[in-house]
Amino acid sequence: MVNLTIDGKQITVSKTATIYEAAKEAGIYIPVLCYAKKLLPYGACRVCLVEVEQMKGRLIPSCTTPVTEGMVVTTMSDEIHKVRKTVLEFLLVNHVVECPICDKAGECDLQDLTYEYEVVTNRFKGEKFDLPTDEVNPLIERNMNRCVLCGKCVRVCDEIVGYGSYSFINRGFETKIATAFDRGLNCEFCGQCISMCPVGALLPRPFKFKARPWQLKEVDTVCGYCGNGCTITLGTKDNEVQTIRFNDKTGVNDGNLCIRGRFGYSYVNSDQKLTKPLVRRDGQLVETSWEEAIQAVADGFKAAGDNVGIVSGARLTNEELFLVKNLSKALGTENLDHSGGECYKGITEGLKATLGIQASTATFPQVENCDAILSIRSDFYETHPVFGMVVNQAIRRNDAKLTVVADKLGKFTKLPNARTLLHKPGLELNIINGICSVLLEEGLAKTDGLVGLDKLKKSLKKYSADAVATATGVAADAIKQAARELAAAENAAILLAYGLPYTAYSKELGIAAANLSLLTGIAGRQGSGLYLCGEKANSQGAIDLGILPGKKGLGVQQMFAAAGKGELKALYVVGEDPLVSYPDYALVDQALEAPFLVVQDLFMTATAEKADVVLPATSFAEKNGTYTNAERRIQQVRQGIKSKGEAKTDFEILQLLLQAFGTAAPATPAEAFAQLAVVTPGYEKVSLDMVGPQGYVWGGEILQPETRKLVSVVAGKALDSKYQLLVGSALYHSGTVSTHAKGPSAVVSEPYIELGREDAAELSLAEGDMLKLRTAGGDIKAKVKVDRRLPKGVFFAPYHFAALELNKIYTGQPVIAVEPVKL
Amino acid sequence: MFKELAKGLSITLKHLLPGNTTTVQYPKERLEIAPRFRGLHRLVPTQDREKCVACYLCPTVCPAKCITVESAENEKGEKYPRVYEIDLLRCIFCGYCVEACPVEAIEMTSAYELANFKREDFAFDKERLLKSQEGAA
Amino acid sequence: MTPEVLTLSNTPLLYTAAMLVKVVVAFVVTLLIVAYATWAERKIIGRMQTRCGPTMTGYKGLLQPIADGLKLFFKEDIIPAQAHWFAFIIAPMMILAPAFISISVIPFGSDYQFTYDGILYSVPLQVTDLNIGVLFIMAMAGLGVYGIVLGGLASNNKYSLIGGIRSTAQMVSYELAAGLSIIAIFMLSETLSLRGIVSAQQLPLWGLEFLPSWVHNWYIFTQPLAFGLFFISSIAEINRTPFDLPEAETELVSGFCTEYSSMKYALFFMGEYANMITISAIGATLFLGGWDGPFFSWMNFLFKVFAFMFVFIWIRATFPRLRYDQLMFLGWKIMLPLALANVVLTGFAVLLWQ
Repeated sequence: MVNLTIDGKQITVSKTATIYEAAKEAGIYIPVLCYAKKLLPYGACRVCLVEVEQMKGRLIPSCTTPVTEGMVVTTMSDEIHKVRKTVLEFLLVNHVVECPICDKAGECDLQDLTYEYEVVTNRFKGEKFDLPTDEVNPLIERNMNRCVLCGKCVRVCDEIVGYGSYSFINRGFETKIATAFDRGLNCEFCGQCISMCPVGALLPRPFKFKARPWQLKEVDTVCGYCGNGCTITLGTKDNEVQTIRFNDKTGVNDGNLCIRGRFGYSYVNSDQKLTKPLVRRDGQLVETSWEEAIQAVADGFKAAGDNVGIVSGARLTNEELFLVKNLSKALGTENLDHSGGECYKGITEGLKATLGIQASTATFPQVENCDAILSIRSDFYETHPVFGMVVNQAIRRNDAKLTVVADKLGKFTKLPNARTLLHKPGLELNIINGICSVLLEEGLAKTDGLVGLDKLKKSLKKYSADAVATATGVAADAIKQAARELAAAENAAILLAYGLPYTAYSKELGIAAANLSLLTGIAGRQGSGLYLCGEKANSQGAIDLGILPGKKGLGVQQMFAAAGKGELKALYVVGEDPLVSYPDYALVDQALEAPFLVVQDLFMTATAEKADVVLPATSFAEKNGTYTNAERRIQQVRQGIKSKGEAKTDFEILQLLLQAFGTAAPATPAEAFAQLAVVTPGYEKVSLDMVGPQGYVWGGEILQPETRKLVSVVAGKALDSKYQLLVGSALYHSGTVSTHAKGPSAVVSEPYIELGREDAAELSLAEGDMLKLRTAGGDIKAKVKVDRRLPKGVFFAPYHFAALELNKIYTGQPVIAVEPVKL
Repeated sequence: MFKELAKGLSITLKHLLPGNTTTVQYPKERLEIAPRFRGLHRLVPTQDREKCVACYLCPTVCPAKCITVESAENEKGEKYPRVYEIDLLRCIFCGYCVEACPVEAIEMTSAYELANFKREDFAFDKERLLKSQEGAA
Repeated sequence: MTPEVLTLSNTPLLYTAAMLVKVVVAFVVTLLIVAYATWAERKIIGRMQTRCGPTMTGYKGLLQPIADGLKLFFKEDIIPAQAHWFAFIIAPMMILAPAFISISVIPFGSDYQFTYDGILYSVPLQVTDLNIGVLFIMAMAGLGVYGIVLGGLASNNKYSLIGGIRSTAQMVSYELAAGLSIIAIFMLSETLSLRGIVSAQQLPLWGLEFLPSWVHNWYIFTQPLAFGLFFISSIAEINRTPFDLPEAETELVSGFCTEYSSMKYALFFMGEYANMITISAIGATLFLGGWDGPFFSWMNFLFKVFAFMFVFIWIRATFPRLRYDQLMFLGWKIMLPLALANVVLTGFAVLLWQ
């Protein structure tokens, strides 16, 4: 600790603090333009200049100067005022003063400082910037005429996002921020640069000219897309979500967001959302009243007796899921499941079998301090981008060693010093088994207290590094190196995302990752963690709440099979579009034909088209409740806007249904939370008051495994086909909902098939050509996207788009043999 | 007391004499409008559009909350008010909007004959405000 | 040749015709004056308050009374649900009728002479000459208060009721002073007939024969105090400013006529002005020598009536309303003693004179 004096105030701060940070902690105001809490000190703007007694003769930039013992700092004097004012005058020489048409006006740091320092005239004359604005990209408005060259966008894109789209180009007065070769912006469109920009140089285009900052009502809620659980602050006006506001004060994400969180909100305002309940009469879905719709549902379910299946989505709040569970009890059925069943088995069965728990063992912020990180599948960044940014910071700030077990390249593999174990598609298990075997062979494993070690050792004989290397095409040394790093690391993390397109080997991968976490001691160790991250906002909550088949109940796949055979008389699908997103179209399609089908959704989905009753529900922005994110963090979802038309929240609909079955339902989400906390393991001591700005992590920062059992898993074999298709998530989308949002759709609006350059050359395909993939199960066709991500012979198709009909050929297999035909 | 009563009576009697009327026979005679009179608003046009850039300062400063602005982007990528409406029934003619305007796009004319028959006629939209003239509604 | 006085017994037809003509003329003229009194009042008060008064309806707003009448005539006639409907309807009539009836005993001109069938007839320009004319007028004035009280009571509205009660108190208080001040007049004239009082005023002033013949014995000269008392109490009696407490818009939202609308309201309005005319006529008759004067007799009379009315209007334009206690104080503690003293003085004077 260091003692210093700022403006006559005695302050004690940590020795790593800068003068600015020390002053801020003491509540002393120093103006800044280029400083941001989460970025490294830079010192570009010279607005934060202060006087330091020991360094008389010049002014000191407070944001880059570390504190020293006995420092005496003055933050304001006539000279400082004059200098700061002069700095602002310099900035305003070139800065175009177009505040009336600049969307930043009202929250612009430069504007505020100009006002504060009363810069009404300028002693310097110069030419205003007259640079072309970036009108090409759909999401980020770049107007470099307003830039003050603080470099925050450059730094955030590099330090946090790890993409590096921007840099300074040219020299002197010509200096400006630009992309490579000064072309249009084409990046992840996470919009981090927008959130950092202190002026109006970078602005969200979807919000262009929509409203003024002071007109917006801000509501902190949790993003409804992935399991990362980022806090997003809705800026609402006229009962519409106008934009997502920057907020680094609450939540686990530190103000970081991805394209989906920052730009994927517009489906909330969509006028295509269902506004009235629909009931099928004479083969047609017709609008009806809520009373009739609920009556129709109740009649249908009663007719079906206990042969009812409930398929829930994982974007419902905990409270709603609790009511779903109650409804299943009221209906007397154990046929209850969520998210396509198979895909989350890694947690519910895999982790249960080994660690005895059903959740990730640690929290996201810990990863920043990890020394070694193993990401199973390169798609982790695509499914959980903001967690990916934490990994990037671990690498940049902490020199963490990242190993990516990858079937294709991606953002993670491009990070500095990332080791990519690029294997043949579908062979992740081999690699993990290989790493485990290296640990055991080299005696690096921490085997104390582990059950089933011998059995595992025996089974891992087949997976020696060399054997795995031959099978997967990954260098044996790399596997060994990865194993050694993981074992040697003080803090280490293993990341694995699951989701609808990653159904294959779900359970086995969960077990393998758990084995690895036990052998390396990661599971339950302070600072380390095994992260199995759900795809949807409340996947973890659904598992916690037990939206799972009961002992005699059927999972989703069995339900569909039973419904197809006519054994299941009624199906209740809440917030899911199985016809588009679930594997095995034929099975789902047949299942939805026969029984009494009730669909509860925001939009008229393909599944809803087949329903007998459609109940209009509302988005996350229209309801109150809690989500539990992939690190077990319970966070509050808050209502930002009122639901449109007659649509009701899932909570209200489930209340009505419960009442129709004569069961008492909790009156409010808060009441429901109190009730569910009692019956949900891990939530027993949680009350809503404890769910603060940073949420509440049930089970504590580190969740200790209940058992330490090693279970051997058998890996698959590589597919013998020249061309193979991988199914997965794309960065710009999450589930099927984001295809209704303008932001993500503006970047990726239609399905595509991605392939590497070599394949493209071989098949003489160019970007945008139509390609047909012929498979045993059927054909799919889409436009081609060519890049360097995919190894030769491997294609990739995202599962978000209904138009692709991907699930007609994807039935849950790890990889699909295809035959490309150019159209 | 009688003196005061008589004085009062004499004052009223004096006023009875011709030439003491202060009434302006309004439709026939009109008072001269002060140069800074605050009458009906006028949006200042430029060659092909209104000068207004929809910065939202006037609805923000308006104490009566009578100004509705909706900004949008025109073909040239400029910010313009797609909707600019003043509800004269709520307007208190304080002139803050004129004062707040950074581009001098709104001014107040001397038009004060603003009575009308229908409620809707008091909603002055952009087209009407662009056409408003000095001295006439 | 002495003209023959028209009587019912000797020339029934002619008498009836003359009577009808007199009644109709008196009634119509009064109504016209009522109508234009409103116009004159608005015009004069307007001017006195540096305004214009009505200007738009007809030349100088001359059609304003007619427009007002038409408007009120076509307005919806509302009787409040809780009102006593019979009293509510009868009240405005009860205020208007006595005012008009009083006119019947006022002599509005000297005798009119005409020749019919070779005989010279003389018709008094007076509907009827009661020998107790003054008492009759007092009686009618006393009746007028019933209209207001009934209107206030029947409306079933607290403001109206307060207006009615105020009016009763005020009328009772000031009728005493008015009556006592008139006593002094007929102590001098020794008759209650208004015709007699008018002729008594045509004698030389104070019986002084040396004065020029056009100086007549108008009682205003003999009884200035009585005139003052009468004038003030008559303002009070017709509820005009500064004694308009029963109406008092600012406190009682029009007092007794709050609930009235349409023609009933118009009747109250007409009653007020008719009363004003009646009182002016009485004042002119009792103190200003009736129709006596330099011009045609009826012109003299009308001129005096208008003069009175002008002063009423003038006062209304000038003085604010009295407070209730001030009103009572003035009525009982000043006007009444003064009137009594005046009667006593007059008595002594008459005794001395004889």
